[in-house]
Amino acid sequence: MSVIDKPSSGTAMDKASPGKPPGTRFRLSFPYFLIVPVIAIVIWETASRLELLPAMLFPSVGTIVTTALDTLTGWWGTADWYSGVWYVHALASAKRVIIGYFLGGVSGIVIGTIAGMFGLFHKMLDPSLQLLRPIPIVAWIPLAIAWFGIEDQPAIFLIALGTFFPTYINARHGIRYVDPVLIRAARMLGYATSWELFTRVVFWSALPNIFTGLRIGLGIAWMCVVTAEMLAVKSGFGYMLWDSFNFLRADLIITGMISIAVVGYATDRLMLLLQHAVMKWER
Amino acid sequence: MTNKLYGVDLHRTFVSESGGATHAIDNVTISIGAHEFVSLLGPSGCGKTTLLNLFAGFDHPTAGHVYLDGKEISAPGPDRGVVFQEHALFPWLRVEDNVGAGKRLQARPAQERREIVSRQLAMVGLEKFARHYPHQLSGGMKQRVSIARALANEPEVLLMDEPFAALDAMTRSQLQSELIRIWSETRKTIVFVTHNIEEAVLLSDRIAVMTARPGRIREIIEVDLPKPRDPNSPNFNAIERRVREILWEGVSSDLH
Repeated sequence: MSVIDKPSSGTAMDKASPGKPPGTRFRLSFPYFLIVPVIAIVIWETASRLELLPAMLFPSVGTIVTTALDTLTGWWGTADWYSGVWYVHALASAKRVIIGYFLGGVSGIVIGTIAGMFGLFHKMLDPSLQLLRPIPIVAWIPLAIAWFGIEDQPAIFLIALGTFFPTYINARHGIRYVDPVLIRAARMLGYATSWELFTRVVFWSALPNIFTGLRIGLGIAWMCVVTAEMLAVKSGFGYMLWDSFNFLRADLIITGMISIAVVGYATDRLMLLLQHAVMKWER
Repeated sequence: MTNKLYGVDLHRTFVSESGGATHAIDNVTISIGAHEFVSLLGPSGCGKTTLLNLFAGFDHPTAGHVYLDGKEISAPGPDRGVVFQEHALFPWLRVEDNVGAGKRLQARPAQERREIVSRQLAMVGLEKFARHYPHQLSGGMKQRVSIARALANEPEVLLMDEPFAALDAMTRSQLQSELIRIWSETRKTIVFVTHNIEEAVLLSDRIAVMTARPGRIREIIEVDLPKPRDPNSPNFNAIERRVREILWEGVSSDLH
Protein backbone atom coordinates (compact mmCIF):
# COMPACT_ATOMS: atom_id res chain seq x y z
CA MET A 1 0.00 0.00 0.00
CA SER A 2 2.52 2.52 1.17
CA VAL A 3 4.57 1.67 -1.87
CA ILE A 4 1.83 3.11 -4.03
CA ASP A 5 1.20 5.96 -1.61
CA LYS A 6 4.71 7.27 -2.18
CA PRO A 7 5.19 7.70 -5.92
CA SER A 8 8.21 9.90 -5.26
CA SER A 9 10.03 7.27 -3.25
CA GLY A 10 12.44 7.36 -6.17
CA THR A 11 16.09 6.69 -5.69
CA ALA A 12 15.53 5.49 -2.20
CA MET A 13 18.76 6.12 -0.38
CA ASP A 14 18.62 9.89 -0.09
CA LYS A 15 15.04 10.08 1.14
CA ALA A 16 15.03 8.72 4.66
CA SER A 17 17.93 9.91 6.75
CA PRO A 18 20.39 7.32 7.98
CA GLY A 19 21.47 7.09 11.60
CA LYS A 20 18.92 8.00 14.21
CA PRO A 21 15.30 7.24 13.38
CA PRO A 22 13.27 10.43 13.41
CA GLY A 23 11.82 11.24 16.83
CA THR A 24 9.20 13.65 18.09
CA ARG A 25 9.98 17.32 18.59
CA PHE A 26 8.29 19.86 20.81
CA ARG A 27 7.17 22.96 19.05
CA LEU A 28 5.53 26.00 20.63
CA SER A 29 2.49 27.22 18.78
CA PHE A 30 -0.49 29.42 19.48
CA PRO A 31 -2.81 27.59 21.95
CA TYR A 32 -5.74 27.28 19.57
CA PHE A 33 -7.40 24.77 21.86
CA LEU A 34 -8.11 27.55 24.39
CA ILE A 35 -10.31 29.60 22.05
CA VAL A 36 -13.45 27.50 22.41
CA PRO A 37 -13.31 27.17 26.23
CA VAL A 38 -12.76 30.92 26.64
CA ILE A 39 -15.76 31.73 24.44
CA ALA A 40 -17.86 29.17 26.34
CA ILE A 41 -16.88 30.68 29.71
CA VAL A 42 -17.71 34.18 28.51
CA ILE A 43 -21.15 33.10 27.27
CA TRP A 44 -21.79 31.21 30.51
CA GLU A 45 -20.82 34.16 32.69
CA THR A 46 -22.97 36.52 30.65
CA ALA A 47 -25.96 34.20 30.89
CA SER A 48 -25.42 33.84 34.61
CA ARG A 49 -25.37 37.62 35.16
CA LEU A 50 -28.60 38.02 33.20
CA GLU A 51 -30.19 35.98 36.06
CA LEU A 52 -32.64 34.15 33.85
CA LEU A 53 -32.51 31.38 36.41
CA PRO A 54 -31.84 31.53 40.15
CA ALA A 55 -28.12 31.67 40.91
CA MET A 56 -28.33 28.30 42.64
CA LEU A 57 -29.41 26.64 39.39
CA PHE A 58 -27.20 28.74 37.10
CA PRO A 59 -24.18 29.76 39.17
CA SER A 60 -21.49 32.15 38.01
CA VAL A 61 -18.15 30.92 36.78
CA GLY A 62 -16.54 32.24 39.96
CA THR A 63 -18.89 30.25 42.18
CA ILE A 64 -18.24 27.06 40.23
CA VAL A 65 -14.47 27.51 40.38
CA THR A 66 -14.57 28.26 44.11
CA THR A 67 -16.79 25.24 44.82
CA ALA A 68 -14.65 22.99 42.65
CA LEU A 69 -11.45 24.10 44.39
CA ASP A 70 -13.15 23.78 47.77
CA THR A 71 -14.06 20.15 47.11
CA LEU A 72 -10.36 19.62 46.53
CA THR A 73 -8.90 21.72 49.34
CA GLY A 74 -11.62 22.41 51.92
CA TRP A 75 -10.36 25.97 52.31
CA TRP A 76 -13.61 27.94 52.08
CA GLY A 77 -16.26 25.41 52.97
CA THR A 78 -18.46 26.63 50.08
CA ALA A 79 -18.90 23.05 48.91
CA ASP A 80 -20.47 22.28 52.30
CA TRP A 81 -20.59 18.51 52.88
CA TYR A 82 -18.37 17.98 49.85
CA SER A 83 -15.71 20.35 51.15
CA GLY A 84 -12.27 18.77 50.88
CA VAL A 85 -13.55 15.28 50.12
CA TRP A 86 -13.05 15.25 46.36
CA TYR A 87 -10.38 12.57 46.54
CA VAL A 88 -12.66 10.24 48.56
CA HIS A 89 -15.16 10.17 45.71
CA ALA A 90 -12.48 10.12 43.06
CA LEU A 91 -10.88 7.07 44.65
CA ALA A 92 -14.25 5.35 45.08
CA SER A 93 -15.05 5.80 41.38
CA ALA A 94 -11.51 4.98 40.28
CA LYS A 95 -11.43 1.76 42.29
CA ARG A 96 -14.63 0.52 40.63
CA VAL A 97 -13.45 1.56 37.20
CA ILE A 98 -10.07 -0.11 37.61
CA ILE A 99 -11.51 -3.43 38.78
CA GLY A 100 -14.44 -3.50 36.34
CA TYR A 101 -12.34 -2.29 33.44
CA PHE A 102 -9.68 -4.88 34.12
CA LEU A 103 -12.22 -7.72 34.28
CA GLY A 104 -14.12 -6.55 31.18
CA GLY A 105 -11.01 -5.65 29.21
CA VAL A 106 -9.14 -8.88 29.87
CA SER A 107 -12.15 -11.08 29.13
CA GLY A 108 -12.94 -9.02 26.03
CA ILE A 109 -9.41 -9.44 24.68
CA VAL A 110 -9.19 -13.14 25.55
CA ILE A 111 -12.61 -14.09 24.17
CA GLY A 112 -12.17 -11.79 21.18
CA THR A 113 -8.82 -13.41 20.42
CA ILE A 114 -10.24 -16.93 20.64
CA ALA A 115 -13.18 -15.90 18.44
CA GLY A 116 -10.76 -14.37 15.95
CA MET A 117 -8.60 -17.48 15.81
CA PHE A 118 -11.35 -20.11 15.73
CA GLY A 119 -14.22 -19.49 13.34
CA LEU A 120 -16.41 -22.19 14.88
CA PHE A 121 -16.14 -20.61 18.34
CA HIS A 122 -17.09 -17.26 16.80
CA LYS A 123 -20.09 -18.80 15.01
CA MET A 124 -21.30 -20.31 18.25
CA LEU A 125 -20.79 -17.31 20.49
CA ASP A 126 -21.09 -14.14 18.46
CA PRO A 127 -24.83 -14.14 17.65
CA SER A 128 -25.69 -14.40 21.35
CA LEU A 129 -23.30 -11.61 22.28
CA GLN A 130 -24.63 -9.40 19.50
CA LEU A 131 -28.12 -9.95 20.89
CA LEU A 132 -27.02 -8.80 24.36
CA ARG A 133 -25.07 -5.83 23.06
CA PRO A 134 -28.01 -3.54 22.17
CA ILE A 135 -29.28 -3.72 25.77
CA PRO A 136 -28.23 -0.38 27.27
CA ILE A 137 -26.05 -0.68 30.34
CA VAL A 138 -28.70 1.25 32.30
CA ALA A 139 -31.15 -1.55 31.60
CA TRP A 140 -28.91 -3.94 33.49
CA ILE A 141 -29.05 -1.88 36.69
CA PRO A 142 -32.14 -3.47 38.28
CA LEU A 143 -30.75 -6.94 37.74
CA ALA A 144 -27.28 -5.87 38.87
CA ILE A 145 -28.69 -4.52 42.14
CA ALA A 146 -30.91 -7.56 42.58
CA TRP A 147 -27.96 -9.89 42.16
CA PHE A 148 -25.13 -7.97 43.78
CA GLY A 149 -26.90 -5.64 46.20
CA ILE A 150 -25.80 -2.10 46.93
CA GLU A 151 -22.13 -0.96 46.91
CA ASP A 152 -19.20 -1.85 44.69
CA GLN A 153 -20.23 -5.14 43.09
CA PRO A 154 -23.15 -3.96 40.90
CA ALA A 155 -21.04 -1.03 39.69
CA ILE A 156 -18.10 -3.30 38.88
CA PHE A 157 -20.44 -5.68 37.08
CA LEU A 158 -21.85 -2.90 34.91
CA ILE A 159 -18.41 -1.50 34.12
CA ALA A 160 -17.06 -4.92 33.19
CA LEU A 161 -20.06 -5.52 30.97
CA GLY A 162 -19.74 -2.13 29.30
CA THR A 163 -16.01 -2.58 28.73
CA PHE A 164 -16.33 -6.11 27.44
CA PHE A 165 -18.22 -5.45 24.20
CA PRO A 166 -15.92 -2.93 22.51
CA THR A 167 -12.77 -4.78 23.53
CA TYR A 168 -14.22 -8.09 22.36
CA ILE A 169 -15.36 -6.75 18.99
CA ASN A 170 -12.14 -4.90 18.23
CA ALA A 171 -9.83 -7.67 19.39
CA ARG A 172 -11.74 -10.22 17.34
CA HIS A 173 -11.64 -7.98 14.29
CA GLY A 174 -7.91 -7.33 14.59
CA ILE A 175 -7.11 -11.01 15.04
CA ARG A 176 -9.42 -12.16 12.26
CA TYR A 177 -8.37 -9.69 9.58
CA VAL A 178 -4.61 -9.99 9.69
CA ASP A 179 -3.04 -9.19 6.33
CA PRO A 180 -2.74 -12.67 4.76
CA VAL A 181 0.55 -11.76 3.06
CA LEU A 182 2.15 -11.33 6.49
CA ILE A 183 1.02 -14.84 7.40
CA ARG A 184 2.56 -16.09 4.17
CA ALA A 185 5.78 -14.24 4.94
CA ALA A 186 5.97 -15.90 8.37
CA ARG A 187 5.26 -19.32 6.87
CA MET A 188 7.99 -19.01 4.25
CA LEU A 189 10.35 -18.00 7.06
CA GLY A 190 9.69 -21.37 8.66
CA TYR A 191 6.85 -20.74 11.11
CA ALA A 192 4.19 -23.38 10.75
CA THR A 193 2.08 -23.92 13.88
CA SER A 194 -0.89 -21.74 14.80
CA TRP A 195 0.84 -20.78 18.02
CA GLU A 196 3.99 -19.63 16.18
CA LEU A 197 1.93 -17.64 13.70
CA PHE A 198 -0.08 -16.13 16.55
CA THR A 199 2.93 -15.01 18.59
CA ARG A 200 4.98 -13.89 15.57
CA VAL A 201 2.34 -12.16 13.47
CA VAL A 202 -1.31 -12.25 14.45
CA PHE A 203 -1.00 -10.76 17.93
CA TRP A 204 1.25 -7.90 16.84
CA SER A 205 -0.78 -7.04 13.84
CA ALA A 206 -3.97 -7.00 15.96
CA LEU A 207 -2.48 -4.70 18.61
CA PRO A 208 -3.72 -1.43 17.06
CA ASN A 209 -7.28 -2.80 17.05
CA ILE A 210 -6.92 -4.14 20.58
CA PHE A 211 -5.89 -0.70 21.78
CA THR A 212 -8.77 0.92 19.91
CA GLY A 213 -11.13 -1.41 21.78
CA LEU A 214 -9.44 -0.64 25.08
CA ARG A 215 -9.78 3.11 24.57
CA ILE A 216 -13.45 2.92 23.59
CA GLY A 217 -13.96 0.61 26.56
CA LEU A 218 -12.35 3.10 28.92
CA GLY A 219 -14.79 5.82 27.91
CA ILE A 220 -17.69 3.45 28.41
CA ALA A 221 -16.28 2.39 31.79
CA TRP A 222 -16.55 5.96 33.07
CA MET A 223 -20.09 6.25 31.70
CA CYS A 224 -20.98 3.05 33.49
CA VAL A 225 -19.49 3.99 36.83
CA VAL A 226 -21.42 7.27 36.92
CA THR A 227 -24.65 5.52 35.96
CA ALA A 228 -24.17 2.85 38.59
CA GLU A 229 -23.24 5.33 41.30
CA MET A 230 -26.36 7.39 40.69
CA LEU A 231 -28.51 4.44 41.66
CA ALA A 232 -26.64 1.69 43.42
CA VAL A 233 -23.92 3.28 45.54
CA LYS A 234 -23.38 6.02 48.11
CA SER A 235 -19.99 7.31 46.94
CA GLY A 236 -18.19 8.36 43.79
CA PHE A 237 -18.76 11.09 41.21
CA GLY A 238 -22.08 9.64 40.07
CA TYR A 239 -23.42 9.71 43.61
CA MET A 240 -22.08 13.24 44.04
CA LEU A 241 -24.02 14.38 40.96
CA TRP A 242 -27.31 12.86 42.02
CA ASP A 243 -26.94 13.87 45.66
CA SER A 244 -26.20 17.47 44.62
CA PHE A 245 -29.22 17.44 42.36
CA ASN A 246 -31.40 16.48 45.34
CA PHE A 247 -30.19 19.66 47.03
CA LEU A 248 -30.44 21.69 43.80
CA ARG A 249 -26.74 22.60 44.02
CA ALA A 250 -25.81 23.25 40.39
CA ASP A 251 -22.28 24.34 41.38
CA LEU A 252 -21.69 20.88 42.89
CA ILE A 253 -23.36 19.11 39.96
CA ILE A 254 -21.07 20.94 37.55
CA THR A 255 -18.05 20.23 39.77
CA GLY A 256 -18.93 16.54 39.57
CA MET A 257 -19.30 16.73 35.80
CA ILE A 258 -15.98 18.52 35.37
CA SER A 259 -14.34 15.94 37.64
CA ILE A 260 -15.58 13.09 35.44
CA ALA A 261 -14.34 14.90 32.34
CA VAL A 262 -10.90 15.55 33.80
CA VAL A 263 -10.39 12.08 35.21
CA GLY A 264 -11.79 10.43 32.06
CA TYR A 265 -9.53 12.53 29.87
CA ALA A 266 -6.50 11.81 32.06
CA THR A 267 -7.03 8.04 31.97
CA ASP A 268 -7.49 8.14 28.20
CA ARG A 269 -4.16 9.97 27.88
CA LEU A 270 -2.55 7.34 30.10
CA MET A 271 -3.92 4.62 27.84
CA LEU A 272 -2.54 6.49 24.84
CA LEU A 273 0.88 6.69 26.51
CA LEU A 274 0.75 2.96 27.16
CA GLN A 275 -0.22 2.37 23.53
CA HIS A 276 2.74 4.42 22.29
CA ALA A 277 5.08 2.63 24.69
CA VAL A 278 3.94 -0.78 23.46
CA MET A 279 3.54 0.05 19.78
CA LYS A 280 6.89 1.74 19.27
CA TRP A 281 6.73 1.19 15.52
CA GLU A 282 3.87 3.65 15.07
CA ARG A 283 4.52 7.34 15.39
CA MET B 1 22.41 -29.48 -14.74
CA THR B 2 20.64 -30.90 -11.72
CA ASN B 3 16.99 -30.19 -11.10
CA LYS B 4 16.44 -27.93 -8.16
CA LEU B 5 12.77 -27.26 -8.65
CA TYR B 6 10.60 -29.54 -10.69
CA GLY B 7 6.90 -29.27 -11.49
CA VAL B 8 5.31 -32.04 -13.48
CA ASP B 9 1.89 -32.22 -15.20
CA LEU B 10 0.64 -29.36 -13.05
CA HIS B 11 -2.97 -28.32 -13.09
CA ARG B 12 -4.61 -25.76 -10.85
CA THR B 13 -8.30 -25.17 -11.25
CA PHE B 14 -10.23 -22.61 -9.25
CA VAL B 15 -13.94 -23.24 -8.89
CA SER B 16 -16.04 -20.15 -8.29
CA GLU B 17 -19.12 -20.11 -6.08
CA SER B 18 -21.35 -20.20 -9.13
CA GLY B 19 -19.62 -23.41 -10.16
CA GLY B 20 -17.57 -22.01 -13.04
CA ALA B 21 -14.05 -23.45 -13.33
CA THR B 22 -10.97 -21.39 -14.18
CA HIS B 23 -7.94 -23.31 -15.34
CA ALA B 24 -5.27 -21.05 -13.89
CA ILE B 25 -2.64 -23.61 -14.78
CA ASP B 26 -3.23 -26.29 -17.35
CA ASN B 27 -0.71 -29.02 -17.93
CA VAL B 28 2.51 -27.27 -17.01
CA THR B 29 5.80 -29.10 -16.68
CA ILE B 30 8.90 -27.12 -15.78
CA SER B 31 12.28 -27.91 -14.34
CA ILE B 32 14.64 -25.35 -12.92
CA GLY B 33 18.32 -26.13 -12.39
CA ALA B 34 20.46 -25.28 -9.41
CA HIS B 35 21.89 -21.71 -9.55
CA GLU B 36 19.59 -20.92 -12.44
CA PHE B 37 17.65 -17.68 -12.83
CA VAL B 38 14.29 -18.44 -14.46
CA SER B 39 11.54 -15.91 -15.16
CA LEU B 40 7.88 -16.72 -15.49
CA LEU B 41 6.68 -14.14 -17.98
CA GLY B 42 3.19 -13.51 -19.22
CA PRO B 43 0.09 -11.28 -19.19
CA SER B 44 -2.06 -11.07 -16.10
CA GLY B 45 -4.20 -14.16 -15.68
CA CYS B 46 -1.65 -16.49 -17.26
CA GLY B 47 -1.10 -18.33 -13.99
CA LYS B 48 2.48 -17.22 -13.37
CA THR B 49 1.81 -16.25 -9.76
CA THR B 50 -0.24 -19.41 -9.27
CA LEU B 51 2.74 -21.44 -10.47
CA LEU B 52 5.05 -19.58 -8.10
CA ASN B 53 2.64 -20.20 -5.22
CA LEU B 54 2.77 -23.91 -5.97
CA PHE B 55 6.56 -23.81 -5.63
CA ALA B 56 6.25 -21.73 -2.46
CA GLY B 57 3.73 -24.20 -1.03
CA PHE B 58 1.10 -21.51 -0.44
CA ASP B 59 -1.18 -23.36 -2.84
CA HIS B 60 -1.56 -26.97 -3.95
CA PRO B 61 -1.93 -28.31 -7.49
CA THR B 62 -5.30 -29.79 -8.43
CA ALA B 63 -3.27 -32.43 -10.24
CA GLY B 64 0.46 -33.01 -10.69
CA HIS B 65 3.41 -32.64 -8.34
CA VAL B 66 6.04 -30.08 -7.37
CA TYR B 67 9.44 -31.09 -6.06
CA LEU B 68 12.38 -29.36 -4.43
CA ASP B 69 15.58 -31.44 -4.63
CA GLY B 70 13.47 -34.48 -5.39
CA LYS B 71 11.27 -34.04 -2.32
CA GLU B 72 7.61 -33.26 -2.89
CA ILE B 73 6.53 -29.77 -1.79
CA SER B 74 3.43 -29.77 0.42
CA ALA B 75 3.73 -26.61 2.52
CA PRO B 76 5.73 -23.38 2.72
CA GLY B 77 9.14 -23.75 4.30
CA PRO B 78 12.39 -21.96 5.05
CA ASP B 79 14.12 -23.75 2.15
CA ARG B 80 12.16 -21.47 -0.21
CA GLY B 81 12.52 -17.76 0.48
CA VAL B 82 9.78 -15.59 -0.99
CA VAL B 83 9.86 -11.92 -1.95
CA PHE B 84 6.34 -10.56 -2.37
CA GLN B 85 5.12 -7.80 -4.63
CA GLU B 86 4.04 -5.82 -1.57
CA HIS B 87 7.16 -6.03 0.59
CA ALA B 88 5.24 -7.90 3.36
CA LEU B 89 7.65 -6.73 6.05
CA PHE B 90 6.49 -6.93 9.66
CA PRO B 91 5.71 -3.30 10.54
CA TRP B 92 6.34 -3.85 14.26
CA LEU B 93 9.92 -5.03 13.77
CA ARG B 94 12.92 -2.85 13.06
CA VAL B 95 14.73 -3.48 9.78
CA GLU B 96 17.39 -5.60 11.51
CA ASP B 97 14.73 -7.69 13.28
CA ASN B 98 12.82 -8.18 10.05
CA VAL B 99 15.96 -9.48 8.38
CA GLY B 100 16.65 -11.70 11.39
CA ALA B 101 13.06 -12.95 11.68
CA GLY B 102 13.56 -16.29 9.93
CA LYS B 103 13.13 -19.39 12.06
CA ARG B 104 16.50 -20.81 11.05
CA LEU B 105 18.17 -17.57 12.13
CA GLN B 106 16.27 -17.40 15.39
CA ALA B 107 17.61 -20.82 16.25
CA ARG B 108 21.20 -19.56 16.01
CA PRO B 109 23.20 -17.85 18.77
CA ALA B 110 22.48 -14.10 18.97
CA GLN B 111 26.01 -13.07 18.01
CA GLU B 112 25.99 -15.23 14.90
CA ARG B 113 22.54 -13.95 13.96
CA ARG B 114 23.69 -10.35 14.26
CA GLU B 115 26.61 -11.05 11.94
CA ILE B 116 24.40 -12.66 9.32
CA VAL B 117 21.89 -9.81 9.55
CA SER B 118 24.52 -7.12 9.10
CA ARG B 119 26.10 -9.04 6.23
CA GLN B 120 22.73 -9.26 4.48
CA LEU B 121 21.96 -5.60 5.15
CA ALA B 122 25.35 -4.66 3.72
CA MET B 123 24.60 -6.74 0.63
CA VAL B 124 21.49 -4.63 -0.08
CA GLY B 125 23.24 -1.42 1.04
CA LEU B 126 21.07 -0.69 4.07
CA GLU B 127 23.49 -1.07 7.00
CA LYS B 128 22.68 2.45 8.14
CA PHE B 129 18.97 1.73 8.31
CA ALA B 130 19.11 -1.27 10.64
CA ARG B 131 17.32 0.56 13.45
CA HIS B 132 14.56 2.01 11.28
CA TYR B 133 11.03 0.70 11.11
CA PRO B 134 9.64 -0.30 7.69
CA HIS B 135 7.26 2.67 7.48
CA GLN B 136 10.28 4.98 7.62
CA LEU B 137 11.66 3.52 4.39
CA SER B 138 10.86 4.19 0.74
CA GLY B 139 9.28 1.51 -1.44
CA GLY B 140 12.59 0.50 -2.99
CA MET B 141 14.29 0.23 0.39
CA LYS B 142 11.47 -1.92 1.76
CA GLN B 143 11.91 -4.29 -1.15
CA ARG B 144 15.65 -4.50 -0.47
CA VAL B 145 14.93 -5.40 3.15
CA SER B 146 12.48 -8.00 1.92
CA ILE B 147 15.19 -9.56 -0.26
CA ALA B 148 17.66 -9.47 2.63
CA ARG B 149 15.11 -11.11 4.93
CA ALA B 150 14.51 -13.95 2.49
CA LEU B 151 18.24 -14.54 1.89
CA ALA B 152 19.24 -14.27 5.57
CA ASN B 153 17.17 -17.35 6.37
CA GLU B 154 19.46 -19.28 3.98
CA PRO B 155 16.91 -20.73 1.57
CA GLU B 156 17.74 -23.15 -1.22
CA VAL B 157 15.81 -21.08 -3.73
CA LEU B 158 14.47 -17.56 -3.94
CA LEU B 159 10.94 -17.09 -5.28
CA MET B 160 10.12 -13.55 -6.35
CA ASP B 161 6.57 -12.50 -7.22
CA GLU B 162 6.72 -9.33 -9.35
CA PRO B 163 8.94 -7.77 -6.68
CA PHE B 164 9.65 -4.56 -8.59
CA ALA B 165 6.27 -4.03 -10.25
CA ALA B 166 5.11 -1.39 -7.78
CA LEU B 167 8.33 0.65 -7.96
CA ASP B 168 9.06 3.64 -10.18
CA ALA B 169 11.27 3.12 -13.23
CA MET B 170 14.48 4.49 -11.69
CA THR B 171 14.26 2.44 -8.52
CA ARG B 172 13.26 -0.61 -10.51
CA SER B 173 16.31 -0.52 -12.75
CA GLN B 174 18.53 0.10 -9.73
CA LEU B 175 17.11 -2.94 -7.96
CA GLN B 176 17.40 -5.03 -11.12
CA SER B 177 21.13 -4.43 -11.31
CA GLU B 178 21.48 -5.17 -7.61
CA LEU B 179 19.59 -8.41 -8.06
CA ILE B 180 21.99 -9.45 -10.81
CA ARG B 181 24.90 -8.70 -8.51
CA ILE B 182 23.28 -10.56 -5.59
CA TRP B 183 22.53 -13.52 -7.82
CA SER B 184 26.12 -13.73 -9.07
CA GLU B 185 27.45 -13.42 -5.50
CA THR B 186 25.12 -15.97 -3.88
CA ARG B 187 24.45 -18.25 -6.86
CA LYS B 188 20.95 -18.85 -5.52
CA THR B 189 18.36 -20.51 -7.69
CA ILE B 190 15.85 -17.77 -8.46
CA VAL B 191 12.33 -18.00 -9.88
CA PHE B 192 11.14 -14.56 -10.88
CA VAL B 193 7.58 -13.68 -11.86
CA THR B 194 7.13 -10.65 -14.10
CA HIS B 195 4.99 -9.22 -16.88
CA ASN B 196 7.80 -6.96 -18.06
CA ILE B 197 9.61 -8.35 -21.13
CA GLU B 198 12.71 -6.20 -20.76
CA GLU B 199 13.03 -7.15 -17.10
CA ALA B 200 12.81 -10.85 -17.94
CA VAL B 201 15.46 -10.62 -20.68
CA LEU B 202 17.70 -8.51 -18.48
CA LEU B 203 17.73 -10.93 -15.55
CA SER B 204 17.04 -14.47 -16.68
CA ASP B 205 19.01 -17.46 -17.88
CA ARG B 206 15.76 -18.83 -19.21
CA ILE B 207 12.31 -17.31 -19.68
CA ALA B 208 9.16 -19.40 -19.48
CA VAL B 209 6.74 -17.46 -21.67
CA MET B 210 3.19 -18.14 -20.51
CA THR B 211 -0.20 -17.56 -22.10
CA ALA B 212 -3.58 -17.14 -20.45
CA ARG B 213 -6.85 -19.08 -20.40
CA PRO B 214 -5.79 -21.76 -19.87
CA GLY B 215 -2.46 -20.86 -18.25
CA ARG B 216 0.25 -22.71 -20.13
CA ILE B 217 3.94 -22.39 -20.84
CA ARG B 218 4.07 -21.57 -24.51
CA GLU B 219 7.80 -21.67 -24.92
CA ILE B 220 10.96 -21.61 -22.88
CA ILE B 221 13.60 -19.23 -24.20
CA GLU B 222 17.27 -19.39 -23.33
CA VAL B 223 18.91 -16.02 -22.90
CA ASP B 224 22.49 -16.76 -23.76
CA LEU B 225 23.99 -13.34 -23.06
CA PRO B 226 26.62 -12.53 -20.42
CA LYS B 227 25.42 -10.58 -17.36
CA PRO B 228 25.17 -7.72 -16.71
CA ARG B 229 23.40 -7.12 -20.00
CA ASP B 230 23.02 -4.05 -22.14
CA PRO B 231 19.33 -3.48 -23.00
CA ASN B 232 20.39 -1.50 -26.07
CA SER B 233 22.51 -4.21 -27.68
CA PRO B 234 21.19 -5.85 -30.89
CA ASN B 235 21.26 -9.33 -29.34
CA PHE B 236 19.21 -8.13 -26.39
CA ASN B 237 16.67 -6.52 -28.70
CA ALA B 238 16.45 -9.62 -30.84
CA ILE B 239 15.51 -11.73 -27.82
CA GLU B 240 13.03 -9.13 -26.63
CA ARG B 241 11.42 -9.15 -30.09
CA ARG B 242 11.14 -12.91 -30.08
CA VAL B 243 9.52 -12.98 -26.66
CA ARG B 244 7.09 -10.29 -27.73
CA GLU B 245 6.13 -12.26 -30.83
CA ILE B 246 5.43 -15.36 -28.77
CA LEU B 247 3.31 -13.35 -26.36
CA TRP B 248 1.38 -11.75 -29.25
CA GLU B 249 0.76 -15.10 -30.87
CA GLY B 250 -0.71 -16.20 -27.58
CA VAL B 251 -2.96 -13.17 -27.37
CA SER B 252 -4.13 -13.33 -30.99
CA SER B 253 -4.83 -17.04 -30.83
CA ASP B 254 -6.95 -16.11 -27.80
CA LEU B 255 -9.04 -13.82 -29.98
CA HIS B 256 -9.81 -16.44 -32.62
